[in-house]
This record gives sequence, structure tokens and C-alpha cells, in this order.
Amino acid sequence: MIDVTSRRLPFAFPPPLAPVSAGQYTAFKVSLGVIIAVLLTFGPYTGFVAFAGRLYLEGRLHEVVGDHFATLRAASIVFALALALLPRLAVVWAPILTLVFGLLNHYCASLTPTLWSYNAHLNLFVAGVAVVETAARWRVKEIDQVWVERLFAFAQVYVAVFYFQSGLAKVVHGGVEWLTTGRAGWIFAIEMGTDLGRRMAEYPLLFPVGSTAIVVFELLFLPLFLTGRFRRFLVLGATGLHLTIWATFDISFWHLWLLYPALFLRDLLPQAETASLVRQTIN
Amino acid sequence: MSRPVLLIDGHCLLCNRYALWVSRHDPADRVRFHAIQSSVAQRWLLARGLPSGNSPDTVYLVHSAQVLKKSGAFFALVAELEGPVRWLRWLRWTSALGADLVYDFVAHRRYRWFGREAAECSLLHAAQLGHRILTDDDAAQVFAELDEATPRRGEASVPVASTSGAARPWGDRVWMVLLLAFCSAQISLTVLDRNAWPLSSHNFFAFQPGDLVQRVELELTAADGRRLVGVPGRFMPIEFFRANRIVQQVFAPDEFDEPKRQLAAEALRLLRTDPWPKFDETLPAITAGSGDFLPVQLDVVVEDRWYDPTGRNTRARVGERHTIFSYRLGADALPSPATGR
Repeated sequence: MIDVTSRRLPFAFPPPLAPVSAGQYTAFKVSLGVIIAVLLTFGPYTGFVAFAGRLYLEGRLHEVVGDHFATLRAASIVFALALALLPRLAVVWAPILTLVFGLLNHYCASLTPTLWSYNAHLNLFVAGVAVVETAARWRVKEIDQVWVERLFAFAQVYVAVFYFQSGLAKVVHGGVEWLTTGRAGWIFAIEMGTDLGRRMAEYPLLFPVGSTAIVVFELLFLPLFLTGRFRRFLVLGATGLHLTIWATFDISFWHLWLLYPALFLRDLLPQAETASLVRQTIN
Repeated sequence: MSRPVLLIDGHCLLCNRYALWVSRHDPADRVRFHAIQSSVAQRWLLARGLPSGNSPDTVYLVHSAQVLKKSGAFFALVAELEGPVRWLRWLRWTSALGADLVYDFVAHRRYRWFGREAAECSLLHAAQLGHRILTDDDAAQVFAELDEATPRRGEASVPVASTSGAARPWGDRVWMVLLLAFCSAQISLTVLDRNAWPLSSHNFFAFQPGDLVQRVELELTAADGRRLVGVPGRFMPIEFFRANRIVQQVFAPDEFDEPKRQLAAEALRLLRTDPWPKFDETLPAITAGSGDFLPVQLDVVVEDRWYDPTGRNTRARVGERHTIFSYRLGADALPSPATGR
């Protein structure tokens, strides 16, 4: 038997300081829509991807997606913009966007299956929005707070695990030398770095220090996040990390951390919005 | 607080029949009823952050300083009744295995299947239930006692606690299992260095380079003999790390020649006719901003680069260079004097 009044959130981490508000959920949907639309419009989703796919991808799915790549891209942009501009109708846009953008991004990731799919979080988060919206619509035509809380919990845990994976990978596959020598970062700064990165390469001691600091931060992000403490500093630190890497290595990861204001609003500004979504009608 | 109080949807015929059924099996006259739609109940539910409104999706059982709902409320209530119906309490473990799904299924269709009374805040069978129906004052007393026994948490936390944990214990457990499975899968992929879209290893730059690095470069030669050299990402409109991997896959020595020719021809076509700008990790076309540079030949070169082990010298020493593939446009594809393309 469950005691409604005394039971705590069963999330894998302590409850946030405030519930997800309607505004925060809307901001999350808008952010997702804008980021996907910009990524697909200006990013590497050109006809070259379909060409490369036809070159060496096999299978019926790949044939179908490759032949309709431009259509899928256009549809994804349209529905992403719809999600951004009309987030209240996400129950319409999100499921379709989940499908078309999913096919598109899966196809792109298939080109280099041994490489990480660094923007699949967008697919997962859109799918999460689709689940929240359709579940709420199917039940009582109202947004159900529990589904929104689960979506945000999933997205936040995804981010925390993302950093943990990144740190773990460097230790497991790069070895302790990856940290102690900073060699990977140093060579990358020389070959692909920005002007600032190349200047920093002239001070090689910076790289083992920086590499160690990055891996320690990445590994600690998940456990510290789960404790529910220092979340604001973790999120700000992660954003700072991305900005630093952008300034030195020209790798921005913008499509991840631009979601943070909406995703971590209640951790960043716990007093900003505390209104509950419970029983809030979306129509 | 010794009497169980069942808060039910006063409009719902099914709920009212349920109340009658309970009263028939409660000869000790212990259970009391109250309509969820009453102003007292509504205020209390809102204060608790519990779903309220005119069409509640659950009954609530207030008993022993606890508030139970859905199947949990049912099994707790039958334990208070008399006769064989009490045996149903042994099925309470099904609450954790999906009884709430059945409950929800019926609850969402109860008006359609059993009908609805439009009267406000009514318990339809007041005559039969009689004194078992709590007045607003009595209900307020019950709620006050419960609040005293289990003080409310801060306003901010109430809505969250009321919905996720409490409302769907079965769903929460499934969700927790799925979340843990997802995290485990992600981390396993990291350790295994594999990807299974949309899951990802996120093994960014997780390698330790030695002093010697073999680097793939592409060389572009114009009709007038000028050359441009760059990393693969400058030759195809795709993220630089994917470009590297595509070039490694397609131009591997043991691969067929036709895909190599096709890729080289497509790269030359794009570089000549449709050079692209930089966007994030997509590097700009090597011909972008190069004026009248019209490439006619593409060479794929593997170059040995030695890096200073001390890190003092940031200029790599270039060792051997091997051209592993060359492609030159046919005469028919060469730029015409008229168009320049």
C-alpha cells in the first residue's frame, strides 16, 4: 500500500527544489524545436550525407531513407519549427518529429557507426515530449505532472550520464596517460585548435592539468548530481567547460548546453517559477 | 481518525455503487464516505497537491494517518470489512504489478460504462448510506486530524510528491527500471566502445596518441597547377570527425576502387560548384574564399607526423607521405573558358 502523503519521489535522485512549471516545460519544447531546426537548416544534413550513404550503406531502411533524405530533412525542419512556434500543439508535432528526425539522424549516424552519435539526445528528448503529450492526451486531455517530471528527470540523468561516459571513456580507452600527459588535447590544439588553442599549446603543462581537471569534473558530475547538491555549480561548470572547449578547440556542443537553461531552470533559479503543472489544461 | 473515510466521486454511478457495496459489508458501521467534489475535500486535496477537480481519476482512502488511492485504497478498505470480501486484501501485492492499470482503465471509462449524475457534489445514494456520509464539518475535522498527524511539506514540493511518487507506484517502478537500464546500457557501450543509435558510447577523443601520428590529408590541384591541402573535413560538408572516418573507410587500401572514384568525384563537384561555409563542427570548404581556384584533381595522402615528446615544439615534423589514391576529372568535366566551371 502506498501512502500518498508521505511518499517521496522515487526518482534516482533527490527531488528538485521546485516542480517543473508550465513555463519551464514550454521553454524546453521551444528550445528543442529551435535547436533541431537550426541544426538541420545550417548543419551537416546536406545531400552529401545521402550520397555517402548510397556509397556504402546497405539495407532496405537505408535505401528508403537515402532516397527521401531531402524530404525527411525538410519535414523535420518544418515540424521542429512548429514545435518551437506552437509548443501547445506539441501533441501533434512531437510524435511526427520523433519519427522523421529519428529516421534522419539514425541514417546520418549509420555513416560512421563506430563513432558516437553526439546529438542523439535531441531525438530522445523529442521522443520524451511525444510520450508526455500523447500520454496526457490519451488519459485526461491534461498535462500530467508525473510525466513531465519523469521527462525532466530522464533528460537530466541523460546529461549527467553523458558527462560520466565521456570521463569514463578517456580513462578506460585512453588510459591514465590521457590525463597525466594531456597529449590528445595538446595535439588536437595544434592541428585543429583555434588561435587561442594554438597559443595555449605553447604551454604544454596546461594540458595535463586541464585534461585531469576535465576528467575529474566529468566523472564527478553524475554522483554529485545524484546527491542533489551543487547542481547549480555543476550545470554552470559544464556550460563553462563547453565554452572553454569551444574557445580553444572550436567544438561547441551548442545543441546540448543551450538546453540547460530550460532543462535545469529549477536548479539554476529555484525561486523563479514554482507553479505546478498539475491539472493544467493544454487546450 | 479511527474510522476509514473513503473520498469518492460523487457524480459517478459506479463509485456510488461501490459505496453501497462497502456499506453492505461493513456491519460494524465503521466506514464513512465523502464526495471529492465538496469544497472541503477540494481545498484539502489542493493543499496536499493531490489531483482534484470534478472528474477525479481515483478514490482516496483516509485511514490510520495515511492517504491511499486507486487499488491501494481498495485493498486497504476491504481489510476493514467483514466476511469473505476481506480475503481480497491478500491481493494487495498486485498494486505493484499492474492493478492500478486495470483501475485506470475502468476509471477512465466509468462515466461511459456506468453513467454519471450531473448534480453537484452529490452522493447519489444518500438515503441508503445515511449517516455514513460525512458532513463538510466532519470531513474538515478528519482532514485536520490527518494534517496534524502528517504535516504538509513546503508548498514547492507538494505538487511533485503528490504526482510522481504517489499517483502511480507501479508506473514509477517500471520507469525506474527503464531509467536504470538505459543508464546501464549507455555506460556499457562506453566500456565496450560501441554505439547502438540512439544509444551512444560518447567516447569523445578517448585515445592516447603516440609521438607518431598517421594523418590523412587531401590535396586539391587546380587546372593551373596550384594546390590546396587540408584535412578531410575541408573536402566534404559533414562534421570533421565523420569526414575523417568516411575517408578512412572508403579509401582504405583493400576497398574497391569504384566507391573511391565516386566519393572523389562528388567532393570535387561540391568544391567546384557548391562550396559550403563553416557551421559548428562542419569545416568550411577548402575552396571557400579561394577565388578562381578550380580543382581538377584530388589526391588522398597519408602522412607521418612526429610530435615533440617534450611538448616544447608545437610544429610537427613531417615524415613519409604516401599518396594512396588519385582522381582527376575527365576532359569533359574540366572548366570551360566561357563558364569558368
